[in-house]
Amino acid sequence: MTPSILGMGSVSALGCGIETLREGLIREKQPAITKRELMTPEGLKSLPVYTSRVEGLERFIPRNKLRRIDPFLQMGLLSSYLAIEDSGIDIARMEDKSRVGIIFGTGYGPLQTSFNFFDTLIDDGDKCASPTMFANSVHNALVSNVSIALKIEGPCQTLTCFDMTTWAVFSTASDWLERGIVDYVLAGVGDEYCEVRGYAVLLSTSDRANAFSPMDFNDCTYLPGEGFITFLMGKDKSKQGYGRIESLGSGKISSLHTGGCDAHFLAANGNSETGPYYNQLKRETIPAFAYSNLYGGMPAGQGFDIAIAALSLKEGALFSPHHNTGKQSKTSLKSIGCIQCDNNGNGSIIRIAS
Amino acid sequence: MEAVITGLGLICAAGETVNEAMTTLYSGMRNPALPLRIKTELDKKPPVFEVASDLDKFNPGNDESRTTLLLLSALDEALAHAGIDKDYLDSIPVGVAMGTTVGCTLNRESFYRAYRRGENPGIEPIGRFLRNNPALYVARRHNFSGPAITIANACSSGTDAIGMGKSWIESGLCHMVIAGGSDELCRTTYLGFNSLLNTAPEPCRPFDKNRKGLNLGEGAGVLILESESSLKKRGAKKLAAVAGYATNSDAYHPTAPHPEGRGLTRAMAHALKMAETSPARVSFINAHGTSTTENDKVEGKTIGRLFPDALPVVSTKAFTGHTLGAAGAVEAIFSVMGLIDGKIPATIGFEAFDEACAIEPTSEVTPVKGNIAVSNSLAFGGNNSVLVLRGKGL
Repeated sequence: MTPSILGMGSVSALGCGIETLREGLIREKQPAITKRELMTPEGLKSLPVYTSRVEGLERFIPRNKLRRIDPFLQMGLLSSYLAIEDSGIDIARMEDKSRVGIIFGTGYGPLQTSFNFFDTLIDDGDKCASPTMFANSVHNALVSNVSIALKIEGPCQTLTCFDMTTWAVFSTASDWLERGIVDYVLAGVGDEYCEVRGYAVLLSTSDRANAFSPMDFNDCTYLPGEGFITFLMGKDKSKQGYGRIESLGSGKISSLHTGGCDAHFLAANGNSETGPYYNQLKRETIPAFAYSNLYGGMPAGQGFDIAIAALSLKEGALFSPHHNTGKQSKTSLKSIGCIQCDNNGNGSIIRIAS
Repeated sequence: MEAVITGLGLICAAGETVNEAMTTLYSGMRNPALPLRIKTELDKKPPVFEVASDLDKFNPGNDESRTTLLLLSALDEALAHAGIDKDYLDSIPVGVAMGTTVGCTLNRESFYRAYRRGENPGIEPIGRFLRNNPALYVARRHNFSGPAITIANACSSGTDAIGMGKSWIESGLCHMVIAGGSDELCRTTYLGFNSLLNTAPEPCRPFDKNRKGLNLGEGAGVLILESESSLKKRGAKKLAAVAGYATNSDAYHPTAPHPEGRGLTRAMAHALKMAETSPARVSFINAHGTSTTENDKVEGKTIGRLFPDALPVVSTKAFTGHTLGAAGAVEAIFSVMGLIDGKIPATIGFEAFDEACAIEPTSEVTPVKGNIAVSNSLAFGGNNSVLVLRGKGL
């Protein structure tokens, strides 16, 4: 039996909780897009950013402790708590917490905290480097905080390989479950926005088109996003989940097997460096959709597509991202392939089946 | 299907090849010094173990980070050591599992300072960061088609990369994996560890009663892991095997180990079980041995408890400093070489037994019998990762 998705926790521009992702899909909710003003060599420019707002973390962590937790950690912690809550599995009461693992992936890690650490050097000098910010600037600070908060004593990993990050996380989680190393895995991916990232986007996309158009593979329409999506995965047959990981594949775009699905969800996000590779996929006649207009551009985008695929399979319907109808029914929906390409001609597919 | 080791490559302050480093280790010489490439305003600058070479020969396009250059040095040596030619690499899916800490962080301080000053700097440093993700860089450079994953588990990253490579081989995902870790010295880690009061003002003294902290280092270690079938196909020589690997979390504190070594105890027990061996059959342990008060106390006590029959324990960080994301790979290589050479180095700097640590590491080059070595890595965040390596006789 392949691993199942037992619970999902989402923190994105649509809000917190997997229901907000569903509300975005049926157009009951719009993503929060805020305009950031940034100085560039060409003067002041405005950049729309898909902005996450962490709400409800105080249900799980005392408010006085939240002040010391940076936004990247808050997104990851909240999505973890929400995934567990959504699953109905009481991890806290588990007798052997070494049977639960954590794998998180991120393209950029806690960017803002890294820059905040530099701020302490710039503002106060080398002797005043902040130990707290240094400790929280390492990529695995989030895994550490989640394992401590949830008392999870199993294997914990942090993986980072930009557009291949989600595949890396799901591949490793599936491996652990299939080899019986753990009974459950919290598998999550996410990235945060910060001013420097926005500055880099503006300078690298000076010829960008105006409207965010993920399925336009030739023009640059990229808008940065932030968020964290976490899945509780397991092989628990007794739990009603969202579907299962049918198979995973990765490799050169030219040899990536993409068949055997009813639909493809492409993590295309208006990035003109990766866009052309989506055009090169051998997709036969399988219909393709892209949903990054709901969550914004980020390396971890494929994770949100997996959540959307899981919701679609549970409801037996595809949500149209391109029209205002919100929903299109399809009765024979059994398998969805979530595909992400990088800018070097590599790609990955994660098939979710009902 | 077992993951066998067929090639080793290494660069660190102790030497820029495996043989150079082993000669240094067995000689008992070391030379930590004030950093040459890092400038700071600190009044008292902790010594570091810096690699002398500028590694210019690996930098034809001037695009590689120092972490990448260190990695390329170790990778070239490992591929040559394994006797692998390009045609063979092109004929199979080769995976890359690489650990790092500095190499995955956008810590381009000069760019950020210029940005803060409102100078509107060019974003080439960010592009360079994106192109230097260690695993992706190696896969791209060699046009590998297997999985490529960079592991960012702080100080256990290198060990975890080897563990991941082992699982890829065993599951049949690929028949060859380039596994290891790489990290350069930089201001962020230098000032960061200094701010945590973890660095020693003198050469480190692992497990010594009067130890004062760690010395940072830089380096890279690469191991070529292969399946038995690839080994036979190439007619290659088996150096050792990755017989066991386990990792888990203390779930205790972001920067301190569990006082009773709860996670480390489980990780060592699981790794030995996976290797189908027992504490009594272990020849020696290459400890994490950072020379910090807490690490050495917890690790020493845990080893003493799990291995009641005293066995040789060494901390090779005394010769390399703490190379962070590279440490696990560097120390796995030293462990393999210990099995091959039948001896391990002295834990240089150790003089006075510390009851709190409960163990007495090697104080001279020590012969070892048997064919099982254990290599420990403990990390920020409470990670405990353990490799069991099997040598002679396999």
